[in-house]
Amino acid sequence: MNTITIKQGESPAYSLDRGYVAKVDTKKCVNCGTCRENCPVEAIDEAQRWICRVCPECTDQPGMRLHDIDAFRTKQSCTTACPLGISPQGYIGLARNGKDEAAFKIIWEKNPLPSVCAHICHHPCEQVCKRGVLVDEPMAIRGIKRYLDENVEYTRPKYPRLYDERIAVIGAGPAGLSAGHFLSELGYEVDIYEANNEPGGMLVRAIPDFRLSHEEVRKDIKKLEEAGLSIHCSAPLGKKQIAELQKEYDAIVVAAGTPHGKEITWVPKWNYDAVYTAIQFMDFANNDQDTVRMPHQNFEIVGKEGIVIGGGSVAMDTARTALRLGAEKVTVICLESGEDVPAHKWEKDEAIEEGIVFIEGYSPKAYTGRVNTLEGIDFAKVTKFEKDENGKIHFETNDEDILHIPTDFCIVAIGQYADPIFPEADGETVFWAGDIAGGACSVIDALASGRDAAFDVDAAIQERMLRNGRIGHKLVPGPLEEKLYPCNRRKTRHHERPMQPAADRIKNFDDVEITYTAKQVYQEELRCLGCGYAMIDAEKCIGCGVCQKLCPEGDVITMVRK
Amino acid sequence: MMKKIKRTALVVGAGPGGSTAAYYLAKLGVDVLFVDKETWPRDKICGGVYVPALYPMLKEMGCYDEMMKYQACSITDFRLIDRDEDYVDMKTEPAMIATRRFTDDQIRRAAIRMGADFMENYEATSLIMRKGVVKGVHGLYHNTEMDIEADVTIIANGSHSELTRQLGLFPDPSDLTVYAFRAYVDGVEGLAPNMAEEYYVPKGLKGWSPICTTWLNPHYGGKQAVLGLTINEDALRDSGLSAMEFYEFWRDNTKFGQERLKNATLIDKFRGWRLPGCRQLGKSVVPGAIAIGDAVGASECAFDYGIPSAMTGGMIAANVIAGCAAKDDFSYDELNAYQKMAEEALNPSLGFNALFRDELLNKEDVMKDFFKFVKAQPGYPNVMFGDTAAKYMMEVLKLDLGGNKSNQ
Repeated sequence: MNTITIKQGESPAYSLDRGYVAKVDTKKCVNCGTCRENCPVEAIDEAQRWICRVCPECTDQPGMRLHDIDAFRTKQSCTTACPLGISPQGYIGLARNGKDEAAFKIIWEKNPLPSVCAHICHHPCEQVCKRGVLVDEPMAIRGIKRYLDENVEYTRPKYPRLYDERIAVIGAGPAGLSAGHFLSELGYEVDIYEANNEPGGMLVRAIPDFRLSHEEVRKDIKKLEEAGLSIHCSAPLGKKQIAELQKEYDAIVVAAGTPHGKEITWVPKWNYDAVYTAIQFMDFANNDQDTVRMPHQNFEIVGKEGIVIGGGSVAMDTARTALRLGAEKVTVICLESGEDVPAHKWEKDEAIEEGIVFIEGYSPKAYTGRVNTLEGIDFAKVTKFEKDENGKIHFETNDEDILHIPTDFCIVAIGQYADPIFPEADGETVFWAGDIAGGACSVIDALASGRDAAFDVDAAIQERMLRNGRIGHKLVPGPLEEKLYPCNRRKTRHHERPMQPAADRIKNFDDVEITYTAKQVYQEELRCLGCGYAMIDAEKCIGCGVCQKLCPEGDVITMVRK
Repeated sequence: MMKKIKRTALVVGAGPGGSTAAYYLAKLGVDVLFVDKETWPRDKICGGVYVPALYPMLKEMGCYDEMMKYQACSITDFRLIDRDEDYVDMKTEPAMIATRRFTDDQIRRAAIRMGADFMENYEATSLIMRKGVVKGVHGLYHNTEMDIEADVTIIANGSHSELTRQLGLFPDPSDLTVYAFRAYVDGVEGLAPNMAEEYYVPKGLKGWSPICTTWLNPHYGGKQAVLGLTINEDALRDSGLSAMEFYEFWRDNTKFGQERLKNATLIDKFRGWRLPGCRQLGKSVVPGAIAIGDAVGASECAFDYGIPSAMTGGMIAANVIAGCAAKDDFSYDELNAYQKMAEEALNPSLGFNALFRDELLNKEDVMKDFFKFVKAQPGYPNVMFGDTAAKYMMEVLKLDLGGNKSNQ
């Protein structure tokens, strides 16, 4: 096969002599994905190595049959699990080889808020890490990222101006910032409108300091602003202004989020003075931690007992915040039980470690108290709980089985809703991103949603689909000679995530996690099995050499004369 | 020829309540015009107290930062002084105090930024009624007659409102109605910068009545203050005194009056309002109109902070009307959704304070008991006013106030 056939659109196909073919040194490839994304003819795939898991002795996990592993290995990898398409294996490998800057570049090029994700990403990559599933513990990918974030400085290049079209983005939360960033990167003039006095959305309003300090958010946003992103703060919009924006701009991206906390209005006396929504509570706690008083009446939290209703991440955050503000005892109660609890397991574990009481399977039935003073809440046992295909919850309670909990205050964290003032997404001039568009609601999902909206806008305006629009690729099985043997793995100790002791951390708002030291991070990096590598399809390769030029490792790809 | 304007929603009054209603109506895309009889910015000598419950709303409107920056002071302490010049100090929720000229204008500007149309110097004189339904207002614009027609009208023109009196919405219980006079004073001495003081006027005044109080809210470090006087309507009538004479009596005949106001001068003369004292939100909705804030006695200014009630009422009314506008149905039943929502939102915080003050004021010994109770609290003088008052009401007076709540 020494000729390449090239066919573009309707034009007749023609042939060229194939001069060179790229060849990957699989021992050196760290699977960063740079070559794959930049290959003009999509000749590069991500191959997944076999992992020997036949005998049960050599790992902590039970053995697996060959065809199970075969089915499993090309299903998911850390690179496909990341909603932003960042390759954790790539930056871990580069960092291990001493190229911290190149490693972090892989992150910040695709992620507009790298510091934020280094602190609070719910790391879907770690959940599918093959080392975690097949061998012992997953790689501490976020820990490594956090180390890189703290030790590497970077400057974003200025955004280019390529097009005359102007785009308005409503909301400067993660989704809005992401949409703005990617649109600016594509070459549009973007204006972001934010109602709050500070960009960041829920990152600064709802997420407590002990998980993500405001400084980190500001650091990331400053980089974006330095690159040329224009954010207009304190600019709340109404229906009229949105209609004007629609006229003034070529497209608008609505990423306004869901800024209002839902209230339990179906239970009588839901508006007692000491009943707050999680958003109200966090707004106060985040902005004025030294002299926090609750929004209504003269309520001071120190020494009081409280209940948080809800079982998601926000419920965990508010409960832990209440504890740090001086509450004597905090109980979290949710409808769901067992696997259905929406909070991540580690969040729940951390909360329980700090002394929060967790009760599952109860629904509020009545608030009890006198005048406007809350004294307790009655909960009824949930007997049946199910989710339909739309994600709507159906449940039944047994009203005989009542649990009464005395309390001084109650925080309702059962979800949020959006302002009903935005036009429907039409795919031509109005696009939705982030929480308001529905779907998953973590930071990284919001960033991905914003990026997708940006590519949609570009596609609609330019009337073409960008080839790299949706980042997502298939995994191909690697050949048998690339097989990995866990028994040969480097038996380095897995480092637990370094945390402050629970007794200390509930006294302040300092970050509960501690960054790895350089030594720990190097040991952690050595643990990576390196399941993936770039595999070049010699049939498709045209020998242009772009992969060789761009490879951050330098000597992985060689051009071989055919 | 008489001019006529036709809009979907009309808000009469551009104070905090009216501006908030206009803001949310504009935000929700309702065609709204709000009018005021004054030339803006206008001043109003009043407490100007913004409690933390309002901060989320102010942040949403984008005026929080400016207001925090230019606030006159932040109140954290509260001193209650009885007729024998005995006193207790208590902590209260940190409230922002600022001059009304500045803050009201901020909220009005937020509404205009949001797209509400504003007309100043328009004085609404009476309502346009058709078949028992409010269809707008007759009024004067620069002394020229002008009618504004609207599908729905929000009446938010304060305690002087002729419109709500015309509709019979304005409650007039004479035993609870008070006159409130206010003035700025300069050269106040001995007033702590973060402490509001409230004095009960001693006996000895002709026609003396329990509800005679005076208070000082410090401004700009305590050298200036807002001085307020509240006098029961009957007492004022019986005494035959003017506000100035009343003030002079208090200044010359009490220890604190002499101490604080020895070298003080009044800036401008006293201005007064007649305020209805109601404990529960009364009827606020009529076909074609919703009345909010002082106009319907909802804020109970004499006893509690008026601005929070007015702004909350404005927000709820705007949401209700936006719902009506979406369905294009402004019938009484649809508008009446406001009544229940406003009662739920406003009454719990109104009822308690009114009852508490009533008990304090109407029973001779209760104040003494209360002072003793507060001083015996652990941590005095760092006890929270709200908590302490609630405990006192429930435990010492053995009052079962639960009934009050469940009646709603």
